[in-house]
Amino acid sequence: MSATESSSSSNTLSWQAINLAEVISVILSILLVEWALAPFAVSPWLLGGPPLLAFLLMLYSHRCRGERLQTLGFGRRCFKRALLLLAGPTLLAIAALICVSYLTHSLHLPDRFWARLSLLPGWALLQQYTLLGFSYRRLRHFLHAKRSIMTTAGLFALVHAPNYPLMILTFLGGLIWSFVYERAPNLFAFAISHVLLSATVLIAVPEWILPSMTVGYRYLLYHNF
Amino acid sequence: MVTGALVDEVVEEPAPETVARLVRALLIKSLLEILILCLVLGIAGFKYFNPTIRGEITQADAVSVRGWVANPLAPHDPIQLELVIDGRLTAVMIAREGQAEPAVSALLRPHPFVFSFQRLPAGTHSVQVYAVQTTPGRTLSLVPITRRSQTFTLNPDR
Repeated sequence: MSATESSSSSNTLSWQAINLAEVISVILSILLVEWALAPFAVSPWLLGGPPLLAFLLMLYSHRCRGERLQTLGFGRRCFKRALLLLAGPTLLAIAALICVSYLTHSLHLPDRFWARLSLLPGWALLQQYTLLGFSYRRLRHFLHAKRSIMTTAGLFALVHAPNYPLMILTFLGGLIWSFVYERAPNLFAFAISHVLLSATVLIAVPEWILPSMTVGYRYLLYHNF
Repeated sequence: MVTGALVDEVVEEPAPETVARLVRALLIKSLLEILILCLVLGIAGFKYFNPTIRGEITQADAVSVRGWVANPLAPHDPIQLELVIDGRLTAVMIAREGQAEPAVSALLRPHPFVFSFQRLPAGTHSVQVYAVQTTPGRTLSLVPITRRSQTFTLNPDR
């Protein structure tokens, strides 16, 4: 192997390592808050520290790589195509959930539903950006599409641990969203799908299956095992 | 190298400076997160296991335990105390601000306490008094008022 080839291969390796490290770092920030900081009801400002740092890292990473908002999926590009691709699985999942709620008589309006619904679009967009606009794109730099889709869905489920019903739902959601993002990367379309599905889960899934949407340490508090 | 899909722009080999900048950013972020973690643990340590609580068991005998306790973080608040003898909870009381022994500085705002109980059997006993500490969460924690429990021996003939 020539010196140039060796240097290029080493650059590629370090670039792959950076991509992996970025994803791990962002996921660890979320897990840090959910598991290590949440048990101590200290200042909410401090709890927001790691996610804020993760967000800044993501922005800085885009800047260093010259990625534009449009490329990440924040523009109009692929909006219709993404909506079309997402419509089928989203409507199917909504129909299935409504069907379950009809059979189990579990259709209900949870506490603070409208307040939660009003925050949901922003929250969904932020999650989709972190999941797809950042993590999926970074994984895609060194994994093939199928593996990236599986890994992204797995990571999305992981940050919802140990709420296992929610982990299953988020894993399935992660699979569909990553699959479609590969073909039509538009985060607004994904946020719409996310909002519709989350709202349906909130009102349709029986409480004995999904008692709460909390994750991490807080899920374990007062939970009936 | 696998390209970034439709996710469709072609991924070029990064310049070494870009790699260096990203590594630096990752390290700084990790360092700041460690600092936040330390800060949260430090604050939690203070709030859950208040290390500023001071106190003393001035006398322990077969029927009573006396002493004082002070909480500099809330100097005027009553302090709930639990008396533990030989590892068993024996009594509970609320100590209020008052006049402690002359040796104790009034600046500490001492809360004197006296526990009285049925005569203890002969033998060696260990005594510790715990202050009940309210925390920001939903739990209460017990903080021993002295570093070590006090041990004393009762003779059978007394």
